[in-house]
Amino acid sequence: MSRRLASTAGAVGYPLAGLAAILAVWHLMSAGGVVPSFLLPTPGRVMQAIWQAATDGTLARHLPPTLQATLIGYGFGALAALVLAALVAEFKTAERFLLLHLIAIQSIPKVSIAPLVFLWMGFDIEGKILLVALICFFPVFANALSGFRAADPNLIDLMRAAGASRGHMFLQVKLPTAASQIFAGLEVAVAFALIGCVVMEFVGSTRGMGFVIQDTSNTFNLPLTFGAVIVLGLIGVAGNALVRLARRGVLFWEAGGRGQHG
Amino acid sequence: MQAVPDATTPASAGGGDAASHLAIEGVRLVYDTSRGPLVALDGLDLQVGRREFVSVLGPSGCGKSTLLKLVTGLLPPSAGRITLAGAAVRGPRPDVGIVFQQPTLLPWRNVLNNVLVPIRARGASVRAHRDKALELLKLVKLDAFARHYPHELSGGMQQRVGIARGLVHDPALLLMDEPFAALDAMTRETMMDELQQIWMSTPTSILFITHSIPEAVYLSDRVAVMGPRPGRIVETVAVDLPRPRGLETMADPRFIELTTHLRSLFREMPEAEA
Repeated sequence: MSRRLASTAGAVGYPLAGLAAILAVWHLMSAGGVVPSFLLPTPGRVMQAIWQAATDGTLARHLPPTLQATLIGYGFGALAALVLAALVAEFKTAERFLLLHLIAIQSIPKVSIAPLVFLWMGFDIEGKILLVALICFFPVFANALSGFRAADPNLIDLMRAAGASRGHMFLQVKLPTAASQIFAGLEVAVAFALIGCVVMEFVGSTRGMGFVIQDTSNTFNLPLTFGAVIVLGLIGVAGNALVRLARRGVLFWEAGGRGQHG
Repeated sequence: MQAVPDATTPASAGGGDAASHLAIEGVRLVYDTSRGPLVALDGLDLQVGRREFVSVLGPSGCGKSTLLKLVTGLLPPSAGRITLAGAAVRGPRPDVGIVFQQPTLLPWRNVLNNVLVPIRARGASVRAHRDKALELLKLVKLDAFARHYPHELSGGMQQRVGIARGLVHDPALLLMDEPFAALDAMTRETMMDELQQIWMSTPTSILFITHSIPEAVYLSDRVAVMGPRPGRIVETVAVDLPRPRGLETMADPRFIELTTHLRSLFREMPEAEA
């Protein structure tokens, strides 16, 4: 009990102390004039700006579009990645048709096509969804593909000998085998999704956290610029925590895995 | 290549009846590799009678595991024929049970559902086989663990789940590929005893692949010795020790005579080509 309490205190205490140290250094640099305060507002000013944005309707106006596009794009991107990875893993023809091109597209920095997406789709949510989906696709695709291919060959032999259909084998062996790696890809994709959305909002939009960042930095309202960045960071952390939570719920056999004994 | 004379003794089954249940005749298997064809097996003959326990004993790399793929129908032979329970093996045979060196269980399924894997795989009724599965779990002394997950079991217990899974669909043949090789010595001896009991209480023919001479002699009615690549059976030794065998069997002069004879066979063998 006390040991558990101590370890929980440690798990929370160390990061909190680290945060306090960072804030202290930040405050001293800004308040002490090391960096001009119009370029680096103090943490207090930033918190104030966040509070104001939360109460005057700025967040209410700009946060939902970002969240919505990020979530929908993330969902589409991850789903498309899973489906294509399954096709490439299962069908030699699909692999021959697709794999090389997918690898080629993977090496393009996805944000570089943001202006194109803007031209095609305009200000609306569709463009954001497209870029987010595109940018989320690859980490999930690569992880899922390698996961599907990691299935135990003996288990595959056993299933084949027993007369299992391809679909049965995929659902019963390959998909659960890949689950751990798929979740790793989904975690990476959370941060990627936010990047895609914010970049699209930079390129052209009148709503969203990306717009707030660009607008406030153009008008030297830097406390709110910092505030928006921090809000985005918190969203990323929350998204990551949600994926981890889902992982722990789904992959119950990993958590208790103490390996073999005796 | 032909240094070992073909000294195959005629089939003289210890426990099984004379009619061969599994018959492997003149089987040859050639793999296409990047460095040209590789003859893994050549002129391989092997019979297993109904309810007989036959071990295939051989050095590593002699193609023992290839044999497993042939018998399950996962790999067609380049030449020769294989018949099981009166029908030629052409393609996957669901009436074969397989036990691997590693337990090879599904970590996300509990023990009972792992045993039922072959039933679900071929789309048979789980409900109709549930009692059978529970009965087998009792046989392998895991009836109290039906709802546990593999990671909650020891290595020996996991391997016993694998054996129950291999038997759940009443296979015509149970194929065991070095099933105890990954276990520690103590667990291994216990498992040998348990396997003997399981085999004696079920109407199962077993083809047991191993590289342990005492294990082969202790368990088998006949021991087939496989020579290095290209693999084939160089001699078959009937084990005429009474059953059930136990601790004292290993001290039996006949046991020692048989194991010594088998050891001398391996001494004479040329080194397998890497």
